Amino acid sequence: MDIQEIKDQLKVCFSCGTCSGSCPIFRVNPEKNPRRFIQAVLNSSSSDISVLENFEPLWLCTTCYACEDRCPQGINITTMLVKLKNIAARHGYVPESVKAELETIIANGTTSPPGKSILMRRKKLNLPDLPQPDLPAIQKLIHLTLND
Amino acid sequence: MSESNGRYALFLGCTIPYKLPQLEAATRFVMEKLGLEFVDLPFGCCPDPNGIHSYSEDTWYTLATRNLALAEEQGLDIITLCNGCYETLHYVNQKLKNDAKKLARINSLLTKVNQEYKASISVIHLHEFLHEKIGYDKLSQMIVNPLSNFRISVHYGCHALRPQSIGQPENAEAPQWLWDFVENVIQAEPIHYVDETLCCGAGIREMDQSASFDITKHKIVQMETAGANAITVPCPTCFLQYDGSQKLILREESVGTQITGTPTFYFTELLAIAMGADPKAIGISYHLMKPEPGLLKSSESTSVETSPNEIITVTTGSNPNS
Repeated sequence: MDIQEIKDQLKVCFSCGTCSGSCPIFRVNPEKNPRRFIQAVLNSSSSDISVLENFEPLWLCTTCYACEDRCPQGINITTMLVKLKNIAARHGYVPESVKAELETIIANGTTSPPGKSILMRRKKLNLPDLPQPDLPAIQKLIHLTLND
Repeated sequence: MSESNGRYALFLGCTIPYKLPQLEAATRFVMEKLGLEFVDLPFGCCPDPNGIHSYSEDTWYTLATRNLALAEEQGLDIITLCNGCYETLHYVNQKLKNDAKKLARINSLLTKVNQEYKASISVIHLHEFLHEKIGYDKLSQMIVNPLSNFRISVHYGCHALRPQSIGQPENAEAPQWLWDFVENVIQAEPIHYVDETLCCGAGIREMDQSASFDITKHKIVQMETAGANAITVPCPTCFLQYDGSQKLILREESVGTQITGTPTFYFTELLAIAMGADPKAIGISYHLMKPEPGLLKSSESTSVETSPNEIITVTTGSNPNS
């Protein structure tokens, strides 16, 4: 999906602000304002991704989907914000913590590689050894999807 | 659902087995009591419905479908213990069941690692499973240690309920099952509060800790004001926020004064204790927010003195209220 397709989805927005009123982050950080993101995208030219350059606050979305479920115009707001972040990521605008999360999966297949103390704790709790993921398969799929 | 015959693929996710294994211990205790067989498969990260989904939808879909295919190969439906895993696997599964073109495209990638997904299985969250497949009547008959001195606020978490468009078991604006669980299964007092369905804030902890903690604190203030002495969650990420992050919030003097501190439990921990598990054996001592002495009582010690001449002892195997 490109910016123009996202704009087509957003254009029925009449700025009622239900999305911002529903946003848990907007309550505590006014920079994270879904209605403002929508208006910024609608006001940008369709080929211009500069709208994403200052979109650090966009990554503060927790994908709670409250805005999407409540939008009176039926706009899939959270889904569109995810698609915007996908475009931003392809242009390198991605927070370090998200990059690090992906790197951890590439290295381990999970986001929580087991440490010694946790393995000891599992033993104390009589928990079984767990089958480990097929790391080469996971790495291959990540490579294929990020580089096609 | 396929024909499971009481066998299910247990999708533990990343957080529970390797950060919070005590939640897994409580869950396995409950499942053993229920006579269910959980199969452990070599699943990878679900992956995360926020970070990885936001980074690349293609990567997110493909890794999720790989996990779905692993369960399908064994003819098993998936039970998830984590809201995030539930969101990812249920969302992707529902989309692929209704989009043959997308399924074919994902399969063109999976074939390169010798896998294929036919979209034949179901994904269910453990809390839905206990309500819909086991039933609260049956569960409540297995309670030997009613948690009557608990006053519990439920935090559902967003990804157990939304988006509604993918087919969720409950109304996201007014979910009921976990509240019924508190009142009618483990026999504690439910403590309602204003922003029950609001996010816990964990999703942005890495990017804006201050905003993240503000949201959590806001919710705990409401729970404590309403009279809660415990919080319960169906999600390990929410658990980390109400346990470890709450501990950090309490350490920050400026904000810590607004909450007194409330212990948090994954919902099967409470169920296990109510079913007679020894809190020590299921690892409650690993919690960072320690419950006050006396709040937890294992079935062995559950005798309530009501008057000098009358001792009520709760006996194993029967529900005193049924």
